Amino acid sequence: MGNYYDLDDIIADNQKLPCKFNVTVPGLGYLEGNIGQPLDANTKLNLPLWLSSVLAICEVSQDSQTTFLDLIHPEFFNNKVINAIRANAVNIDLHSILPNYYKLCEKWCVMFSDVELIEVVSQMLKERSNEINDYGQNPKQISSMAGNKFLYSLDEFEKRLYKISTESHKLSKEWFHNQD
Amino acid sequence: MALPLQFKTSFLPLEINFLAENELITILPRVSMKSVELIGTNLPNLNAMRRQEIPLWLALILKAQDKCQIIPPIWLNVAYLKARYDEELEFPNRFSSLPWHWLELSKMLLTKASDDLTDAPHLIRSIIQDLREVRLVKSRKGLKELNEAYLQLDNLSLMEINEIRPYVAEVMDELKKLSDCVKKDDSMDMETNDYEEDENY
Amino acid sequence: MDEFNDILNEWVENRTSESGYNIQQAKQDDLTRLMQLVVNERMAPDVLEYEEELLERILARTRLQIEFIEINSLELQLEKDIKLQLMIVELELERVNYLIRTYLRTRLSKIDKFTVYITKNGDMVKRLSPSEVSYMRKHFEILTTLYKKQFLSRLPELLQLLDDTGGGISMIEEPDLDKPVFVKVVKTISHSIDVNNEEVELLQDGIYVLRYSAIRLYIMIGDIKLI
Repeated sequence: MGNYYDLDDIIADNQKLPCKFNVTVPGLGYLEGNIGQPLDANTKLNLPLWLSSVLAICEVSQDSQTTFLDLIHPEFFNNKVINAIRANAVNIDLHSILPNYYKLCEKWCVMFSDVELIEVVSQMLKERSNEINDYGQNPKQISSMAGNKFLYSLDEFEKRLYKISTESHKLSKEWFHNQD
Repeated sequence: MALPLQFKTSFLPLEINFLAENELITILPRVSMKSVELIGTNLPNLNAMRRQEIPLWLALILKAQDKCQIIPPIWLNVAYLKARYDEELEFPNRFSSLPWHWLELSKMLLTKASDDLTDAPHLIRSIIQDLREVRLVKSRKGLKELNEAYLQLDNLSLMEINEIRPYVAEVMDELKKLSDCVKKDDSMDMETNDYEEDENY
Repeated sequence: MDEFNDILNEWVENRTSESGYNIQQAKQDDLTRLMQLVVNERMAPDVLEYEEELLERILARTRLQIEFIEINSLELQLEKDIKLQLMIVELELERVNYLIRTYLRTRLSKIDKFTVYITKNGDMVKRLSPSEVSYMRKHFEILTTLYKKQFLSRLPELLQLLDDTGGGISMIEEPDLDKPVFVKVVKTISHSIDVNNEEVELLQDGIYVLRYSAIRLYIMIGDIKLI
């Protein structure tokens, strides 16, 4: 899908997710600071998505049903966050929850098909993007207190959206007022 | 790169202006001129005082050389535009019907042929500005209905569409990506995996 | 003699053949078509069919214009009328050149982006002009030589591929045919389109934003146009 060389995608893949090991793996102790020791089953660890997603589907051996680890439902998709989004999508500080919220959401839901999460996040996107477009048409507003707070709460995708919106409106406005 | 990034998602206002310059407009030549064979059309013999339809870019050149007078299009006057403005206010859920290139044509004629207009230029300019603003606000409101399936924007002009195009495309694309994530029920084995709920977290 | 030529030219210009075909109209149609091609190519996610005939016709007329300019610029006594005519011809030439160049540049940028995909896809290669195919091949050759010299040769052999599709991830960049595009309906579509389980009716003169894949065929036959 053209994602192979996409830098944002690569950065998002690096996001650490909580996991729980299902089996004891010799020699992996260094992942939790015990060099030379085996990593015991039931150890909880934070591993980047590119690694954890593969280990979560790889079976330990050909006849086993057990995978190396299980992914644990991360904080940023739990009920507390979902309810906060439902309450007020525009005011939520998405950036501090997770800088690449939408991308991670996509990747997580491809694996776990969380329909409720997708619905809530889609609705949030619609509301926040509207706000972004409003600021895009009136860029002076972004320097106000409220505007500033909003700007810093945007995740990476929303920041890009804001830039696209402001640039486009700026170009049109410049053309319109140009008297040559 | 053959094409700068900006060009890949949308047109620049100047490019849209360029497209608008090919629109035909009526002129009243002041002098006679011999015909010229062009690539995109043939410019016929121009006779003084005999109206002729030619592309706008050509009309502006001739006007600059004082060779003709431009006949403004029938919609470029305060009465017509004010009626459209009232329509915008009366029907908040749709856009009034304006020519495809109304912004570009009005701007070019106001700047380069203001003496040929039927009403005072500053009056026309002001109603054009009002029209643009009211439609911009309306489109902002209309975009609240954005979803990943489709959007309908009847009667917007090309320049207005182009302004919101990059933003709309990006949001629709992301919405689509999100909804596609939960639709794939064929190849992904991982779907049936359960994750663990961890109370300690 | 001049007057006679003028009358003759005017007659030739406005001559209508038996089928009602008018040269001036033909030229205008060609130009309109070229503008639509530029718009299409910019807005479509994949590379479209190269319109060889149209480009050839326009390029032929361009060459005539260049000749006209060269012949008439040689005259030492440039009367005012010729000066103005020359300026008009030159200006129009620039405008048409711009359109052709934009058309080609847009195609080249897409070809650059999807080189690997196009090379593996016989159908797509057919849409390119012969010079575009040769450009693509040479460009790719130079690029891969550069990559090899700079770093690829130092990677383990298994990781040296540029078109690896193993491991569930494909290295090949494919055009995103689901990209949303803005369109205007030229002719009402008889049956409604299904997008995402929603039925949409596409009425004449309506302006819609839809996935490219949903209406690609209609664009090809001209019932819908990209804007």
